Amino acid sequence: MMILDLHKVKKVFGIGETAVTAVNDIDLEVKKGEIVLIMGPSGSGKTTLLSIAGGILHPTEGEVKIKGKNITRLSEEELPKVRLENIGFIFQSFNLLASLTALENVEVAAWLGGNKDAAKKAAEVLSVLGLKDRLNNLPADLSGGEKQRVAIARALVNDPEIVLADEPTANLDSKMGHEVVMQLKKIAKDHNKSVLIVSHDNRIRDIADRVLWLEDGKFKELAKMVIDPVCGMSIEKRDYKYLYKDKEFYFCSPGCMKEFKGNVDQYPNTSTL
Amino acid sequence: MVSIARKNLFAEKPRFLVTSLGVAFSVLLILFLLGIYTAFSNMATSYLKSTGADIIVAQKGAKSMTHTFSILDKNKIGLVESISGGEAYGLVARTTNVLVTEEDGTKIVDFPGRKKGENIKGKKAQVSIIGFDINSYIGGPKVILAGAASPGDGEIIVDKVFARQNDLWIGDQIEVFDKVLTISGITEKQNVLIYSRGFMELSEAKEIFRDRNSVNFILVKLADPSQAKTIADRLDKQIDGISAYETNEFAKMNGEEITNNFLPIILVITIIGFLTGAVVVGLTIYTSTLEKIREYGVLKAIGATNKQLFFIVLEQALWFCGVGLIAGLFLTWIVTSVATEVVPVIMAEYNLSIYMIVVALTLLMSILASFVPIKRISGIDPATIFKS
Repeated sequence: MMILDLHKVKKVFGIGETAVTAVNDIDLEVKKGEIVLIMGPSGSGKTTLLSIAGGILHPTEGEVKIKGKNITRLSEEELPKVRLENIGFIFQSFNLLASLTALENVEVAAWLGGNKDAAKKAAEVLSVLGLKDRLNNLPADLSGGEKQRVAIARALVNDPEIVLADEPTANLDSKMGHEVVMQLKKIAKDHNKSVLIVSHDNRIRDIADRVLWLEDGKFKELAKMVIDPVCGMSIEKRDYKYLYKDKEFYFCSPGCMKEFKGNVDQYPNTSTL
Repeated sequence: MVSIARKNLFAEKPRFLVTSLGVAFSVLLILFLLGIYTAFSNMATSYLKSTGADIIVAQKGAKSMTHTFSILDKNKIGLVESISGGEAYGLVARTTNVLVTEEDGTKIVDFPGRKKGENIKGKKAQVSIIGFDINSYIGGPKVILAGAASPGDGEIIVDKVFARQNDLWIGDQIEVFDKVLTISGITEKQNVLIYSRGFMELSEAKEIFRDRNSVNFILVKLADPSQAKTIADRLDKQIDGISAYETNEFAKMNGEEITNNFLPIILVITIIGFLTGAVVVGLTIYTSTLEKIREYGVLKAIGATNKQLFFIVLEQALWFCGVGLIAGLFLTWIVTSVATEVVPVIMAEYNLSIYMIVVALTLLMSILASFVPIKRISGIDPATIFKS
């Protein structure tokens, strides 16, 4: 079953000479229980695409359907209900309400979603995520991983069809990042939710059913992508190429290429994405 | 359901307290002024309402006891009595300066040969001398706090504020024209800002003012008070040179004459107090909204409507104003107690209507203050929360 369907979506910011096309002619389908990872360099349009998919931003052109319902032209008064009932959001910087406890942060979302027993439901979801003993802690008293788990609980409390996650591991160390990645996998596989993630984090590739590369507002073929051996960034096989011992290396910038040439022995081989 | 507004407020207690205190002072200003206004309004009418008379007869055209002069021939008392079928009594009511201390500031002690008269220097105060019939007690002071209820020869009953202001008490003496009177009783609520009432026996008051053949007003006590309007009209028509009023009507005119002069001043200061409170709350609500703008964005992104966010802001304003109101009521009680003790002329009375006005104004303050950040909230783009 198709949960999210983006058809020829385009988003242009500004008008005339200052117009910037953030997302251009994008088609994307996400099935029930599927994890889709969108990667790409900064400014490639990942977040814009996520905002459009989440009914937060109206596309300039194209259509957005959630569970077959076209939400493209819904008004600002109609969209909050669509978001509450269908979409759970996980943000890069957690975005918890500072003066509310972990329980209350989740309870608010449940209450907005019309849950009459919001506190009980919130406690249940948090307990499932291993935060039973941290219910009454303020965000300031939680670790990064715990904060993100609270954010995940908030995203799940209204039982949405799809979870949209924006750089969910960006502010976490590797251990906590791994925990969050595993939680996202559980959301999709155990709870049969669709998960759309935008991230730079290669660890998420392991759990994704599909990985898409977004650059300049368009999806590109992953086969043509390589990793810059110096900075670790995923880049296209394009301008900054260097042949060393019959092997091709690609770089995001002349700086990285220069660094590589100067210390060539300490960098591992490049690999195709 | 968890209250985001309350949680946000109590997370920053100093700001909450300072803003609530701002509202409290605004409530104090409004309530105290209205209390003073009410007290003086009541004092302007309470004496007339409590004279025991059903009809008050004045010289033609005279509409109050304060600013219009009324002189009636004493023969009219009998005429009024026969036409009305009730009991009629003369009343002297004349405002004059009385001497309350000697030139050197000491208390007046009369003795044979002491110099008397209007030219004597010393501290003087304005008193409305009320001469009333002590047998019927129509026109006499309703409440006696200390001393005797009926002034005898050479005696006067004065108001407690007048007594405190001039350091007088029962047994002390004051001088009216060339007559020295001994204070025999203390009454209350007879201080009308510009003068204070002093009560004495009718014929003695006439003697003081050297006018034995006239009175200033005639008070009529009817067997059936419900006939007051009809009988007042009858008196008006049948007796030349008089105006007869129901007591309450005359009291109302008397009160309006005083309060109408104060009402615009009270109104302006009340508006200033109200606006001050609204601005204090509005400013705090606005700044705290700006500080929490990202959180409002998060709520909007996960599905909160503008209406729900507005109610969070309104609840915050209601908290500020609610706590400010309670603190303001407490402050007003303290200020009233202290002020009336330190400055005797200050009087404040509070009734349900005043409290209702203050509650309504405080509620309005909350609503107005909530409108300040509403545009900012409705303009939040939830997409901005994706920017870290």
